[in-house]
Order: sequence, then C-alpha cells, then structure tokens
Amino acid sequence: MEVDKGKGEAEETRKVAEADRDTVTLKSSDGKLFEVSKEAAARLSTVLAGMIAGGSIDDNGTDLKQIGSEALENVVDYCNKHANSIPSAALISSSISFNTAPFKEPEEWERKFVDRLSHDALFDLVEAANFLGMERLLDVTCHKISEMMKGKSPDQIREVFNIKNDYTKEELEEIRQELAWAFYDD
Amino acid sequence: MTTRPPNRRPGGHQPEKMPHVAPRKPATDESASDAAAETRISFLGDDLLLEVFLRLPSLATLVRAALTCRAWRGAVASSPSFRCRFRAVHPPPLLGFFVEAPHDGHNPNVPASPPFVPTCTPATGTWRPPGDGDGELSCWDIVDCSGGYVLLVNADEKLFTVVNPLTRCNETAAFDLCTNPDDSVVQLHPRLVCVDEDRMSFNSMLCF
Repeated sequence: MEVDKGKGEAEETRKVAEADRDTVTLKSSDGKLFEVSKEAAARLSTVLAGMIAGGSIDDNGTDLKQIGSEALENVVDYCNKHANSIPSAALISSSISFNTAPFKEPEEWERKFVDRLSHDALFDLVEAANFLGMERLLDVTCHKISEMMKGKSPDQIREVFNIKNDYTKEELEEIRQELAWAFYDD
Repeated sequence: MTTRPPNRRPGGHQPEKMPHVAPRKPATDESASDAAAETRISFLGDDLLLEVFLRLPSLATLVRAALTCRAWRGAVASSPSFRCRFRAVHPPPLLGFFVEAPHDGHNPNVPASPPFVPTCTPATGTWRPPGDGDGELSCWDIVDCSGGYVLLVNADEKLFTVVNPLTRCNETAAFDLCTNPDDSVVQLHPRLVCVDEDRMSFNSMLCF
C-alpha cells in the first residue's frame, strides 16, 4: 500500500501511519507517554507483540494502567537499549526451553541497567516485566534480586529486604539444627 | 510444555485496572533507598518470588532464603511444581564420598561405620549410626542409596537404617530386621525406594 508522505501526519491517515510507524506510544497509569521501538517491543514483550499484531495499539498512547511511569520508563529504556543489540538466538531458545535450561547470565549492559535501580524500582520493574510478558527482562530483574540473597544468612537477607522475622526463637533453633547443612558456605 | 504461570497478564487489549499490590510510595530520587525500603518484596506475590528463588545458585541458598520468614517458607513449601523446576535447573551436586575400607568381621582397627567425606560442607565429624560407638563395635555396610539417602545394614545387630549423610543422624530411622520365621537363614537384599522428596518418605523394599 502506498502511503502519501505529504499527508503522513494527517488525522485521516492516522491508522495507516500508525501501521507504518516504527515506534509505539505507551501510556503509564499516571498518564505519561513513552515512545518505544516497535520492533524491540514486539520482540521482547509477548503482550505488546500481541497488541501490535492485533492492531490495538493506540496512536495517542496505549493504556498500561498497571504500570507506573517510573517502571514504564525503565521498560522503554530497556527495550530501546535492546533494540540496539543484536537479537540473540540464545535468548530465544532459552525462553523456549525455559523450564529446564540453565538461565543465561545477564549481559554487562543488562547488569548495569538493573544495578542502578533502587529496590522499589527493581520490584516495580519485575511486576511490569511479568505483566508485559517480557521473559528476558523478568529474567534479568529476578536474577538481580536473587543475587542480593546469594551467600547470605536468613538474618542478612532480612536486613537487605527489611523483612520482619516472624519465627519464634525455638522454631529457628529447631530449623537450624534440622537443616544445619544449609548454613555452611556454598 | 509448561511455561511460567501468567501472573496478572492482561487478558485483552486493554489491561483491566486492578488494585495495585502495594501502596505506592511517593517517588523519591534516593537511589540508595535501602534504609527506606519497606518490605516491598513481600508484595511481589508468590509466583514472582519463586521466579527469584529459581535463580538462586544452590539448594543451600534457597533454604536460607526460605527461612527468612514464614511467608517465604510457605511459598516454597506449597509449590511442588516450583521444587520440581528448581531441581531441573540445579542438577544434584556431588555430596560426598563414603569411604568403605575392606573389613574383616570385628577388626578393631577398622571404623565401625563407613566414614562420609562431604564435598560441599566442612567435615565436622563422621556420621555415626545409632547404637554405634559405645564400645560395642558393630559393622554397617552400605547396601543402597537413593534421593540423597543411604541404606545401611548391620548384619550383627540385625538392623538396617536409612540416613541422610549431610544431616548426620537427624533423619536416621532404625528398624528391626525380619526375624527369620522358621530359623532358616534368610538372605536379604534390601533396596531403598524414595517415594517423593519429603524427608523420611521412603520405603525399603526387601527382596528375598
């Protein structure tokens, strides 16, 4: 189909233009708009891919009412950064055999990407990635949280995540004896 | 093939609005918000928490994480499918070796129980079966192993026992051997069959 470039931004050709645009606009729960590469969005998010394929992307901003602007900004940032990287066949295959395949280590830029996030931002991003069906982003964010637990005692983990210890002393002692092997170094 | 459970994915084009799981804190610019972070991780929900746990490097780390609070322990304990996935991505490690020296009856120079040399925990002592070591020297032989448990038989005392060597004596159970019904010599070939992953959920199968 031929698109009239001269009228590309005109209202009447909005739908056609939308189909030809290489970005999509997403709207956060608090009404902020973000542009993201369509190719990356479709590649990284099963939910966005479905919406793009189904033609339900809104030019004025597709509502993502469960995702706050900070998390959505991070999602978009991740997608746009990913758009510049070469699609990895390993990533695709790891998502297919997700249940049994060992997880692929985050790449350096992915590590840096999540390292700069606060706890709250990280947890929000986990939820957003899960909501949007972003397998790889979920992997990277969950991996980051798991690293915060690695090599730590229950006490230290509680401290990191500010979790209240709701076990009694007796219970803890009993568990400690029962599972003494787990309290040695890995 | 099963995939991760879709956790609150939008069913249609327009995701429904749902009450957010956590009261939204006012946005702050503090990136080092460790001190200010509330127990936000608890609001992730079990499915996502288990996704995090799945990426822990070892079973020991998982146990320590699960013991952080009741909710986390409950999340692991109530999901057999998670434990199945965890085992799938964490192949069983080599726990250690039993060193069974050839022995001849009651040779006092030979340890009564086969010493276990763990590879992943400090050797804090040799596992000792019940009734052993009180001057009464008796010999235990390794007969079978399955699911991290070892089946030992003590022919002298007419006992067999199932033990998890990593937990030392904690999960040991001893049973009387079948007494030979008509005073005939009974040749026993017990085998250990683990029913499921729960500790002590095993059966010993006796083959005659």
